[in-house]
Amino acid sequence: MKAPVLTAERHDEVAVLSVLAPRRDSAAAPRFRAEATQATGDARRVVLDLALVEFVDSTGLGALIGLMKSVAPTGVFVLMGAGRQVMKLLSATKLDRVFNIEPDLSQALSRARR
Amino acid sequence: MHRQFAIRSNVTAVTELAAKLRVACADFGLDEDAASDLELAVVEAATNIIVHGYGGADGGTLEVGVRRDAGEVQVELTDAGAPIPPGALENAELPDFDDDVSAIPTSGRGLALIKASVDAWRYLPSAGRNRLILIKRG
Repeated sequence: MKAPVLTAERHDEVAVLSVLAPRRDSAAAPRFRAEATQATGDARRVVLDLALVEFVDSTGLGALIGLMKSVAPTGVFVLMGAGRQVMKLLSATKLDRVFNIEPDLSQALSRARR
Repeated sequence: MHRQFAIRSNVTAVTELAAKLRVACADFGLDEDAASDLELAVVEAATNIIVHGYGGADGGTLEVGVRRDAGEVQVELTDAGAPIPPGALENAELPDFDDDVSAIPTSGRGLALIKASVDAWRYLPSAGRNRLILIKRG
């Protein structure tokens, strides 16, 4: 049994998923998708904490988009703690226009509760 | 200055390649932002070669040379898989979308990100030996 790639906790109605592994790439994407889907469950307000993530490639980005698309139609999905490489990738792909992006947990929670 | 690596055609080996590339870029004095861009380009290229060129089969080899020249770092990836289809890299563009979240594609950005992350590139496919050269200034 491999160590989990994310932890999940609840702040009232908001599910906060924290990614533990530093790389979200093609090798890591399938487990991320599976664990994130399970951890999200039926939560409609979801914060994904990327503070420990150092590198995301297009496959990892696809997994983030997939998670956002599964929550967004009836809920709120917020990214927090994105580092320099992740922000650059979101900007290059124009996805910074569609993701809710907040710097820290308190701002992410207040965005998710809106 | 020159480094040469080889990895097997498995996406888990790309992580190891990225780590070696980061060490080489640091040793070659490439600044962190440029090294990070180059890492993304090389990871996308290597993943594309493994998933599409070798069809995900674990029997192939990907050779990677990293060279420091005046004002730039050049990475050359050589593989013996199926080449990138003609025009696919040249014409690759990041998908555009309006703000309709359900219409945003989750894949199809790899080739465009390779081009967006480097200053120059050349692709030289030939029978059984494809060479992709990625150049980052700095």
